Amino acid sequence: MTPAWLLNFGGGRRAAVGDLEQVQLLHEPECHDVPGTPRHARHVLLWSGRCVPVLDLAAWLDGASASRERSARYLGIYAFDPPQHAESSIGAEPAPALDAAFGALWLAQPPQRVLVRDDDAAPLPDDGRPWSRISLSCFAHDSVRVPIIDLRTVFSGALNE
Amino acid sequence: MHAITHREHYALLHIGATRLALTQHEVRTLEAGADVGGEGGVRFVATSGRRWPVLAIDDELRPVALNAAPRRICAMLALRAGLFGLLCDEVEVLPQAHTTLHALPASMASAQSAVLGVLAFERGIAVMSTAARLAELLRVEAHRATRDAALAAPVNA
Repeated sequence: MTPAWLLNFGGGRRAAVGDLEQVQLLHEPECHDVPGTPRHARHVLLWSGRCVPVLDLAAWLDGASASRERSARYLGIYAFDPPQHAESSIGAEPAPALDAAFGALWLAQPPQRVLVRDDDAAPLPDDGRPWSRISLSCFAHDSVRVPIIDLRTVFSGALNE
Repeated sequence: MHAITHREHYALLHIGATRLALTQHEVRTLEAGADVGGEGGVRFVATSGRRWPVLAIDDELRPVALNAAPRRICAMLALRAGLFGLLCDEVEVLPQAHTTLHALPASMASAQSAVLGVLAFERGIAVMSTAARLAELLRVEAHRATRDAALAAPVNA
């Protein structure tokens, strides 16, 4: 069995990440609004000397029908393999090769640790949400289909396309 | 997401609730908002012997009509080809020792956004852009090209 973290974005939207990807959980942290950014990616968190993007996956999953009100009060911080960096137009240096990248997700509840078996594999939810764009696979937990999301894709900018 | 190593002085333009950071050398002069001339959609400031277009943006960095959000300062920003004015409420200079510039995370970037980075300072954050990026998105060159005769002609010609 493989450990994973079950993430609840609220409104029945749930997903999972790998056991080692969950780094920290914050309750109602101070995030900074960044104007001119997509509605699902409006905030940054200054954390450990880094500028960490904060995504509202519930808003992205529901698209135009998403509520303007965000009920999530927890912030999960996640580590993942960084994408290959192109040099920034404002002079940012590429990340060191072995350095992890970090991103944060709004959560409605604290993550729940679960154990996943191979025979828990299931198809992605057919709820009309674009899970296939961000999911690596899916498993069933308590009769609910739980996509395992690819954090590298989630934080790559692909959600803005 | 990594901090940027080189150091600059930044000018902070207050535009409503937004703080827009530009490198200090891009802000050439400050003019009074009351000195913005012209009528309707054609507005300009006369400085350095010429007239330059003036634009206004809202807190989301979207262009708005000049009379939609009266602001008292016009920051004249430098481009290779000249200047343009950007209306704001206040301008301050941040001491470089108290700032850290981060590239805008890829997950927040879009081709339609003027924001290139996040500048952290002791009172919060500002979004960082450049005069060239703002001009590109606000179509300053096109704006000037269509009104060269009216706006870019020498004041005393």
